[in-house]
Amino acid sequence: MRVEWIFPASVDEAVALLARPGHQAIAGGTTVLDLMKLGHRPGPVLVDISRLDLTEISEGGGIIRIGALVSNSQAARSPLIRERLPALSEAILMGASEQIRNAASIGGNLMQATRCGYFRDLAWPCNRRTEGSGCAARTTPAAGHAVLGASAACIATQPSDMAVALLAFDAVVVARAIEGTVRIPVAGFFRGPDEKALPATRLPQGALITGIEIPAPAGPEASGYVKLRGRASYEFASASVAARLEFDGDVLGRAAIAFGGIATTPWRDREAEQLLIGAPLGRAQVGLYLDRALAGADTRPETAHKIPLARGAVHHLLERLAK
Amino acid sequence: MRAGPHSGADAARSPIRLDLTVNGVPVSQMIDPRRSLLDFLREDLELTGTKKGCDHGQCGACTVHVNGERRLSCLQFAAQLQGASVTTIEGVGSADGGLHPLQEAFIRHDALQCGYCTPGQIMSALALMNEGCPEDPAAIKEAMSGNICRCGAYNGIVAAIREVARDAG
Amino acid sequence: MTLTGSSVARLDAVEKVTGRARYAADHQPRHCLVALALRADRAPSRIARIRTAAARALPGVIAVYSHENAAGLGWVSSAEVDALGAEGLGRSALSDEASALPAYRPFTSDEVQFAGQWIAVVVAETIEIAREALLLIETDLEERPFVPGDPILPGPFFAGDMQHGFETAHPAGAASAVVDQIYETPMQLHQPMEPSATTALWAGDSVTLWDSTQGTRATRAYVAASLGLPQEKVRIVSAYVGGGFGAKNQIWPHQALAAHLARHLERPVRVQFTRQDMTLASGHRSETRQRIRLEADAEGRLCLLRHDSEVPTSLRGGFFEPCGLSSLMLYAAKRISVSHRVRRLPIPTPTPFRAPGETPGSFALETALDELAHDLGIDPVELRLRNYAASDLYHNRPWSSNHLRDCYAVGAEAIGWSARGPVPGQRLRNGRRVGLGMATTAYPAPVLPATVRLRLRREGRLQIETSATDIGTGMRTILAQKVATELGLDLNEVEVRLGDSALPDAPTAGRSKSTASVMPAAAAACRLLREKLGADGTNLSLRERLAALGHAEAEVEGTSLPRGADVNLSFYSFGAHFVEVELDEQIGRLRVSRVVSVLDCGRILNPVLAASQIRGGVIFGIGMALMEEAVRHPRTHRLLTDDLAGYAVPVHADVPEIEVRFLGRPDAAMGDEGARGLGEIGLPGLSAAIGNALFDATGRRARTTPFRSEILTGR
Repeated sequence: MRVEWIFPASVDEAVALLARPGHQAIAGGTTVLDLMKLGHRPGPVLVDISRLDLTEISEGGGIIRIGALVSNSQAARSPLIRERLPALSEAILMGASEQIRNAASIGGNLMQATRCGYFRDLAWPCNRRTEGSGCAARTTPAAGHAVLGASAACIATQPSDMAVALLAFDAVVVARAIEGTVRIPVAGFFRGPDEKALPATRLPQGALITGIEIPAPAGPEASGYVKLRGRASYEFASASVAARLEFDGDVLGRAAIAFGGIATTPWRDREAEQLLIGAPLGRAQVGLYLDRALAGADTRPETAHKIPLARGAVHHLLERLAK
Repeated sequence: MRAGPHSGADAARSPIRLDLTVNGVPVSQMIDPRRSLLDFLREDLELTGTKKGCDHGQCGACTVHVNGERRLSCLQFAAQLQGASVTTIEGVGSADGGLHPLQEAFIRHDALQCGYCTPGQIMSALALMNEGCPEDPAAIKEAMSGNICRCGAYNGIVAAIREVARDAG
Repeated sequence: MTLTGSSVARLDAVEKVTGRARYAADHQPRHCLVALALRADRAPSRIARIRTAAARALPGVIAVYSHENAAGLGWVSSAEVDALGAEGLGRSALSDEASALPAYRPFTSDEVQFAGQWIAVVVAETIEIAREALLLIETDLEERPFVPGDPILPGPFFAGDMQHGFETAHPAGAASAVVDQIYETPMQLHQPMEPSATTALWAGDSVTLWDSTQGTRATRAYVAASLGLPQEKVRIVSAYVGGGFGAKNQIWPHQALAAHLARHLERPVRVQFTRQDMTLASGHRSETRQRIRLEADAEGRLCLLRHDSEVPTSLRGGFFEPCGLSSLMLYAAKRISVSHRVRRLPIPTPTPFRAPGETPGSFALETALDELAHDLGIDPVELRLRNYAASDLYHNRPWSSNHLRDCYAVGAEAIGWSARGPVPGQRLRNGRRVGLGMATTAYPAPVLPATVRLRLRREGRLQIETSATDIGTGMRTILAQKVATELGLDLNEVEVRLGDSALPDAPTAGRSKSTASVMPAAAAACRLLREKLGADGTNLSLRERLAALGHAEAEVEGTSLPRGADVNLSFYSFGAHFVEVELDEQIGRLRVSRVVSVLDCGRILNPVLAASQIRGGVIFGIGMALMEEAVRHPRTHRLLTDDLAGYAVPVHADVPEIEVRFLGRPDAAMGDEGARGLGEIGLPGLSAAIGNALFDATGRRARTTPFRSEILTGR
C-alpha cells in the first residue's frame, strides 16, 4: 500500500494538487489512518493541509464562519459558538472523545466515512466502498442502519453529529475548487444514495473545504442537541436531534429540527416544521410534526427501535428548549 | 474473501524523515510514511508505556499529548508531526523519577487493576486538568469517557482526578 | 504487626502508573518479526485455493504460512496438544461424534470450521508490511452447507450434573403461583484492554515466551507439547497481564504458533492480536436461551425450580455455558431440575468468561424469582429468605460457611429497601422513573495445590516466588502482605516475583481460586522458613538467625494441598446486589444510579483491592444489562461486532459510585485465614438486579439482555 505525503504551502497549491488523480486531502487524518489499517487504500498521495491557515472562528456581516482546520474541540469550546449556536457546540461535544476532537478538523468531520460495518470490513460487498459491488446491509441490516433516505444501493447512516446541528442552522459549506470558490448548503452537501451510493457528498471533485458559514441567529432563540445511544458516552447515535426554536410570545415563530443516526444523511423536513409554526408548543402538535417528518421511514426489525427513540428525542429536546 | 494483486504494492514505500520532540528530547528518524504515532513510539523509540488497546480510536489506551493536547496516538500519522512536541507517560513526573501528584492519587485510590489502560487514563486526565477540570463528577466522567477500563477502576480514577483537581484549584 | 487484612496500596502500582510495567508485546527483542493473521470470512467452508506468492514477494515479508506449508514448522494436529488447550476443554462432557474428531487447530487442513479462523499467517519485518501483505493474499473459500445436528445432552461439567433432577424436604405446600418464562442472553466478548500477545525468543534449544496468559504453567505445558520439547525447555513469562476475564484462561493456538515461527525462522517473533483477532481467537461467552419454571405455594415456598438451558458450542470444541450450575444448589425447592442442551454451530469455540454459567444462569433465575415475588405479593428479599438453602441440597452437604441472609439485611438497609413499595411504577425523581431491585450472587470457592518459594539472603529483600499470575487481581500485593505478616517484616523488606513458569507451581488465575490456593502455600513456606532458621522463640530477626547459622541464604518451598476427599462441606461465596435505576422513559435512557453489593467471601485480605475486584464484576453486569451484545451474520456466521465500537462496553459515564461491603467473616473450613476467592462473584445476579429495578420503576419486565429499547421506552 503506497502512501506519499505532500505538504502544500497554500490553499491554491493544495487545490492544484488535489486536481491530480490519486491525490487526497488529509487534515487530522483520523479517518484515513483508521480505514487504512483495515485495508482501505488511501490516496495514495496524501495532500496534508493541516498546516494551512484555515483556523479562524469569526462573526461578521450576519455570518458566523468556522475555518475548515479549526479542531472539533476548538469549535465546541469557542465562546462565540457556545453562546450563539449552542446546539452546534453540544453536538460536537457529544461526538467522539476529547482526544479525537482535538485531532479532527471541522472539514474532516463533514467528510468522515460511514461507520457501517460492511463498509469498514473489506470482506463484504459495499457500494459505498466499491460502486456496483452490492450492499450486504440490505439483506442483513444491523441496529445502526438507516430508516430514512435509504436506497437499494446503500442504507448506511451518516455518522457526524456536527453535521446534524449544521443542517438545523442552515449552514453552508465553503470550498475552493480550481474554478474558484463554491458554496454548498449543508442541506444539499450529503448526497443520499439513489441507484448509486457514491459519491457520498456533492463536494466537487478535487475541491477543498475551506470553512463553514452559518447565518448568525437574528433574534433570541433556543437551540440544543440530544443524542441517544446504548451507552452514556463515546458511541455513535442510535438517534439524535438538533433543534432551534424561536418563540413569538406563546407560539412558535420559527422551528428547525434535524435528525441524526436514523438516515443516510442528516435529515430535515422543512414542510413538517411548518406544522409547528404559529401554535403553542404542545405534545400533540409535536406529535403531528413527527408523524409527518418520519412518515417515510422504512424500518426493519433491527432498526424499528429508532422511530420511538427519535420521537422521544424530539419531545425531550423541545420540552427542554421551551423551558 | 478476495484481495487481488495490487500493482503499486512494491512501489514507493520510501521512508520519510521526521524531526520532533518526544518527552523533551529531540528525535530525528526515518519512518514508514504509513506509521502511526503509536507504532512510532513503541517500535521505533521503544517507548512501550503507551499501549495498543484497539488501534482504531475506540479505547483511549494510546492517549498521549501532542503539543499539549490529548490525542490518540493510534489515529495519528507520525508523518504529520514534523516539529511537534509529544509527551508520553514516560515523560510524566519529575526528572528524578518522582511521581506526579496524579500518579500518586491513582495509587491512593486504587484507580487501576491490570494497569493496561492506566497510562492512557493518566495522560487523558492530565490533559483534562489543563483544559479546566470540572467539579461535577458527572462532567469528569463525560470528559474521561474516551478512556475505557475493562477491569472497572472507574470509581477510583474519578476520585483521583477530583482530589488532584481540588488540590490544584 | 498484621498487614494482612489492611488496605495497603497495590505493590505494582508505581510500575503501572509510570508505564514501566512491561506486558507481553512490550518486550521487544532485537530483530523481532511481527506475525499477522489472515482470517476466513465465512463458514463452514473449504479453502479451494490460496495464493501467497504476491505477499511473499513483498520486500520485508519473511514468510507466509497456510495449511499448505505449515507442517514445515512442525505444526501438526495433535490430540495430546488439543487436550491441554481451549479447544479441548469440555469435549469429554459432550462425547458426541465430533468430540472424537481432531479439534480445531489452524493450518492443519483446508477445512474452515468457523468464520474468523486463521487461514494464513504473514511474518514480516514491520507491522505496516505485514498488513500490506495480508491484502495481497488471494483466497477462494467454497461455502459448505451447514447442517445442524441433533442437540447434545452433555454429561457432568464443572463438577456439576448437566442433566439432573431431585427431590428435597423443603416444606412447600400446593403450588399456587407459577412463573414459566424464556430468558435470553447474547454472545458476549471478554474484551480485556490488552489484546493477547506472545513474543517468542529462542536461545539454543530453549524458548522464552512473554505471553499474556492467566496461567503460565498451563501455557508451558501446551507450548512444550506442541513443540515436542520437554517442559524445562520452555519458559512462559507473564509478569504483567492486561486483564483476562477468561479470555486468557485457556491456551490458544497462537501462543504456540509464535514459538514455532521463531524456531523455524531463527528470529524472535511477536504475535500481537488486533482487536478484531481478540474477538475471534480467544473465545467468548456464547448466547443462551433458558427456560425457568418456578412453582410456589401461597407463602412463596418453592415447589419446583426447573432450569432448562440451550447453548451452542463450536463444530469441534467442547466448552459450553453451564447455566444451570447455581440453580442446583442456591435455593431450596421441593423439586429441583436442571438440563442443558448443546448445539454445534460453525462458530469459534466459546470459553469461560467471568463466572461462566452463573452469569447468564443467574440473570434468568434471579429475574424469575422477582417475577414470582411480584405475582405472590411477597417482597423479593422475603421470598429469597423463605427459600434459603440452609445446606447444599444438591450435594447433600453443609455449607462451609454461609451468611447470605446477613448480606440481604445489610444491603437492604444500605440502599433503603423499605422505600420500595409493592406496586411498580410509583416513584419519580426529576421527571425520571426510579426503581429498586435486588438479586443474589453466589460462586464456588475451589482450592487447588500451589507452591510458594521463599528465599532469604544476607542482603536484599526476602524473595517470594510463585508462577501464579496477577492479571489485575492484586495477587502480588496480598502475597507480600501475607508473607510480611507471617514473618514480621515490613512490606519493603519483601519482594514478589510471579507470572513466570520457571517459578514454583500455581494454578491458573480463574474460577476465583488463586487466593485460597496460593495463600496457604505462602503460610506453609513461612512456617518452614522459621523452622529452618530456628527463629521461633528467639528475639533475633530472620536475617540475624541466617547470619548466626552461618548461611549465605535460606530457601524453602511451601505447598498447599488440595481439599481432602474427607471434607464433607460445600464451599461457596455468597452475596446480594441492591441496585437503584433511573429511567428517562421518553428517550429510553436507563442509568444505574446506585449499587450496593454485600459479599460473604470469608476473610478479606485487602479490603480496597477486594472492593476493586467486586466493582469490576458489577461493571460487567452493568454492561451486560445495558449494552453488551455480539452479533453474528446469519448466513456466513461471521462476527459483525468485532471492534470496540461495534461491541460496546461501559465507559466512565455509565458507572455510578459502587458501594461494596464485605461481611468479612472468616470461613474456618477454608484453612489458613479463612479467605475465599472473589474474582467472579461481583458479576452474577447484577444484570438481574438492574432488570428487577427496571421492573420496579416501570412494571415492565426485561427477559433479554441487553434490555431492549421497547422495554425501556414502553413503545
